[in-house]
Amino acid sequence: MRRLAARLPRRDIVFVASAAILLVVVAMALSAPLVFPGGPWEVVGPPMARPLSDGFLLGTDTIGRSLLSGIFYGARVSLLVGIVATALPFLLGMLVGAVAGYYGGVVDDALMRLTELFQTVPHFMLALVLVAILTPSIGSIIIAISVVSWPPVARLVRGEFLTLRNREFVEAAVLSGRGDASIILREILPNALGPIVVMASLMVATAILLEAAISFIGLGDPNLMSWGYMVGASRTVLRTAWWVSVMPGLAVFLTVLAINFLGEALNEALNPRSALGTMR
Amino acid sequence: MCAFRYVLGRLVKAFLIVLAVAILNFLLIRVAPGDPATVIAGQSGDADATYLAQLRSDFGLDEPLPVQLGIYLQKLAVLDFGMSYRERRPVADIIWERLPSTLEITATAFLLALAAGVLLGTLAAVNRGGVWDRVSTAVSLIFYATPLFWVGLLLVLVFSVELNWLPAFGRTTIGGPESGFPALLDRLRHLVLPVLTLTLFYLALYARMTRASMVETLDMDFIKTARAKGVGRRRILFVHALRNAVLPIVTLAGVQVGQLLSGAIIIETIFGWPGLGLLAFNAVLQRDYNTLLAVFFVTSLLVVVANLIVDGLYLLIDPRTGARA
Amino acid sequence: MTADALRVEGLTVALPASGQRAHAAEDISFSLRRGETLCMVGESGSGKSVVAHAVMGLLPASLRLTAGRILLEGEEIQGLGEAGFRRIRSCRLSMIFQEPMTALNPLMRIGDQISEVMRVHGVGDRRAIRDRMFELAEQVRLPDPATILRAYPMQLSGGQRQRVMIAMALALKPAVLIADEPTTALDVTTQAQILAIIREMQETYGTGVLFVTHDFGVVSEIADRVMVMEKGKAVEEGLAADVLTRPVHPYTRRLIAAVPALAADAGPALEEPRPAALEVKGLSKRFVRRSGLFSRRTVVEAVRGVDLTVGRGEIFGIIGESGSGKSTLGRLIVRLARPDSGDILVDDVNLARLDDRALRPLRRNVQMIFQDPFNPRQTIGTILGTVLSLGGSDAAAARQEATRLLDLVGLDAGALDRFPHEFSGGQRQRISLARALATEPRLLIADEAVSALDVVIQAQILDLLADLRRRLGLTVLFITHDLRVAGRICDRVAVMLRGEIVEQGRPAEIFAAPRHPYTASLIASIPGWDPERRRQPVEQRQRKETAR
Repeated sequence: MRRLAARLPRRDIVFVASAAILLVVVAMALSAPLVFPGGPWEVVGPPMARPLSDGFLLGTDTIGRSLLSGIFYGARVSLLVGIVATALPFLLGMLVGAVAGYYGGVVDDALMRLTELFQTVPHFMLALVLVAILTPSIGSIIIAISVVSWPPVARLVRGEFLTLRNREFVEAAVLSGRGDASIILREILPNALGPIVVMASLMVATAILLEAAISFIGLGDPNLMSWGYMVGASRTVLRTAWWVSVMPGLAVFLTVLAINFLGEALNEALNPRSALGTMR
Repeated sequence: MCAFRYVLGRLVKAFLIVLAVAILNFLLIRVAPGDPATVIAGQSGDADATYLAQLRSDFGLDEPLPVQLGIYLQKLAVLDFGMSYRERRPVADIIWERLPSTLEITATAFLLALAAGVLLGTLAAVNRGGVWDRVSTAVSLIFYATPLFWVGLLLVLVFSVELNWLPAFGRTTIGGPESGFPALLDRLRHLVLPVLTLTLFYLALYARMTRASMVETLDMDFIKTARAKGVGRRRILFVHALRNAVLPIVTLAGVQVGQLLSGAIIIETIFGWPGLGLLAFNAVLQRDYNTLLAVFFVTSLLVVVANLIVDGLYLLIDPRTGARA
Repeated sequence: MTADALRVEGLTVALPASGQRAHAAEDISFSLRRGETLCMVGESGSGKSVVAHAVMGLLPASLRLTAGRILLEGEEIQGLGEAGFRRIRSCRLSMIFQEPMTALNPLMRIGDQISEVMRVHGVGDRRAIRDRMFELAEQVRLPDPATILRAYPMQLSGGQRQRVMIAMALALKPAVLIADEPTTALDVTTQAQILAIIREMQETYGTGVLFVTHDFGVVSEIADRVMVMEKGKAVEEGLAADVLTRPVHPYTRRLIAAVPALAADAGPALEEPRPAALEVKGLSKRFVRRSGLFSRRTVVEAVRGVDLTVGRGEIFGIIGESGSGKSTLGRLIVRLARPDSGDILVDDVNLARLDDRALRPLRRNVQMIFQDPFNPRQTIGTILGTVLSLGGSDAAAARQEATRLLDLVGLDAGALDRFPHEFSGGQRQRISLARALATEPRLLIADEAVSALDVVIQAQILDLLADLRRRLGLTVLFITHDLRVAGRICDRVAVMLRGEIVEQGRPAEIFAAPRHPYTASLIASIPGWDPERRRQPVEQRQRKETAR
């Protein structure tokens, strides 16, 4: 863990900026009820006030709600969905992938057919269908995103397990007479974690994007203010009050961008370029 | 002979996936709230009793589940998705009408993104570490992070609202030119922004993947052999390296078709493009599950077809494919 | 005729700042005449391959040519840019590489790849190209040229691909051919064929051959002159006959001494009869491969009805080339794979039919020496400790035992706290041995345990193995493709061909009088084995030619 932290590019401006953005988002999410005790739905001023006017940092929307307040509360939704809708498919995918990769054979075949099915079906559309059928709520959104996101994890974990299973140190462990569980947990998993962790960070970004798109379409949780919803609801006034759509979209963009950059940095740190090979 | 086996194997696999999607659809209808008849009627309970009764007998909704599945699959096989209560005509007709519009933007975006992405990725790989490489990697990362709907809105804002160069709505200008070259130009102008939005996103992806694949390919032994033979740089790049490097991209592109079609929902919603995506959007608003699931099925079908084409391409490009069978 | 085809003076290639030393190659000078073969010999890291690449202008970007001259037929070429080198590559100066399996473009037909070298250098006439290709195919002894030229690389074997490489390299009749370990990745019988082909082509075209290798057997087989390299410097140079029989430099002496000689005795014969540590009866295993839903099934009979008996304290060798089934046999005995039929008796327990659960407590009796069986994230202490604790020892006792094991293989206790990547190849092999011995096994299987090691280290590990056998009474099944190695250490050997054992016996007897034709061809293929084939100095050959 310490070695990993040491390899992160702490001096790189992009890395620092990304980390800062993420910290800001988390801070917004945590502090929303304190900074805006009235909630995001409270009307606090004239509709469509421009940014930096009348004490509204980001202006107001079509009804007169503070945009900044919406962004603060929207951060909560994005982070919640980002984390939970990653954790669930991650665990499921890891389980499926580990079993398929380690045991191979028929089990592997069957599970892979299942993931293929999910990968053929268009993700966003399936998510929409699920949310529509289960009636829109934060719970159904999380479930829908999870259902759509687990196959790539399973495939990655399976791939890693398949390669690692044939590595000599795993065979040596089998020869020592160790049980399957011990081998999977102590030998294979720690070595498979690298790409898996990187994938997890990208999944968070994807989950946030999916949630924003679902809310944009109008299938978001009606009780929660979400960035996507804000963009979608004010689409019609784009010509006159562009900031109402652009600002929340910017929030999504910056958050996802920061996560992507951090994911890249993580990728680099976990897979250091090997030193120059020996020349004969 | 081996190629034949390969094709046969792929066709069977495709059929099985379509079957699985159909069963999934069937289950989703049953999961939807309310009586399946009302779901199929698509009005959340507003339909009149006689219509519902007819649906019930039509779809065999009083029969045991396996029979229902059989009837459903039979109907799907002839692309009978039921009737749209709203428009009083078969859903299949509506889908058939709107399919070309969606294909217009998605197919164009797909080809543009692929071509431009591969080109940019190749340039980045050849100039590895250089300015161009770093810029294109950064741009790729940026576009990959951007929400599709936001990019669309921004483009509308810049090109339509501020600069007034391009139209922001619809496929044609209402009351505009009907035929001939002016009509074509009009159509093209309307096509630009939707296609551009979709293209930018996927272009970034393909550029990144191509760069990675090219870098890996250029490191391979046979490239060194080609150099040792005295083959020139350009030939090495385009004859030796590209063909090998592009293989994983082709696979990726096949996988991405589903995403592309999904993205069409958002694009068509923003730009008022009368395609399947807008149809799905309206179906969502009206809780018309029947139509929604029909669009879902059709798009899945399109993805399967696209993947079959990719498999066929593989057969052409990579001689190892058929022989491995 | 006596002018140098290639002359190198003071060649120096710098390593990047983070390298282990300042130069990959330092102040290398040599000359090569037409029709002559110069062998550059050295272990890995000696810089021999770097020199070869430098002459062709194919150095990777991280290595820079900092000094020296390269003269090709009297012309200086070291200053040529990429464009200049492109004009002479394959036309006047050719190179073939080590890995035939990856050296050809997998998506292009063989014929297109061979004709490409001609087209790129200006040969335009299609008929001329075609004729030349057929001529080359015949010269490199490719069977059925018409079919092969239309085939793709994946349809060819390693030996065939290397012949294609030779054909491509000599298509335009260059003055010099550089061969960078072209046979290292090939079976010994294939190697013999390739060496013969190179020699024939050389005689036909009068090409000067610069041959990079680590194998002194190859040197004795083909070299007119030798240059020995160590850590980037040339330590000895001269006529092959002189260097091989009267080496001057201590490094050369060490290298030559480490090469296992075939005729040497593995020591006094073991007293017979001995109790059997391992009995294998009728062992068989087949693999069925099927890709895709409708494809044909390929059935590979990896092991077919193998019988053998290994006495306690014996080192028994299994010799075979790739595809012989020797590795599968090893994996079956150690039960990393399940046999289809047959018996494996270790200490009167039949391991063949047991399921995983019943097998687990018995696994400690049969262990395998791998090449690199280390979880890269664990220290040696953890790795050994895990194995030892399975036997019931606590942490302190395990550490003590681990120290003892390391001492047994010649390593100090400090190794316990280090990670695998901090050790050299030879040291990792020792740790692997220690790991295998941790469970006090009845039987050890070594599958190509020393194949990846340099010849000096290889000799050390073999000595260690023999020493441990003596001290601990180990029984070892030694699987290898290298007859010379087997001859050095094994009490008895068995030769495998396509899943079956075709001959068994004591090495000295088998080498003196092989009974099976395959064994005979294996022995004949060993480079440097046949004194008749050994290289005669150029002058002698030229005298012979003028005498004709």
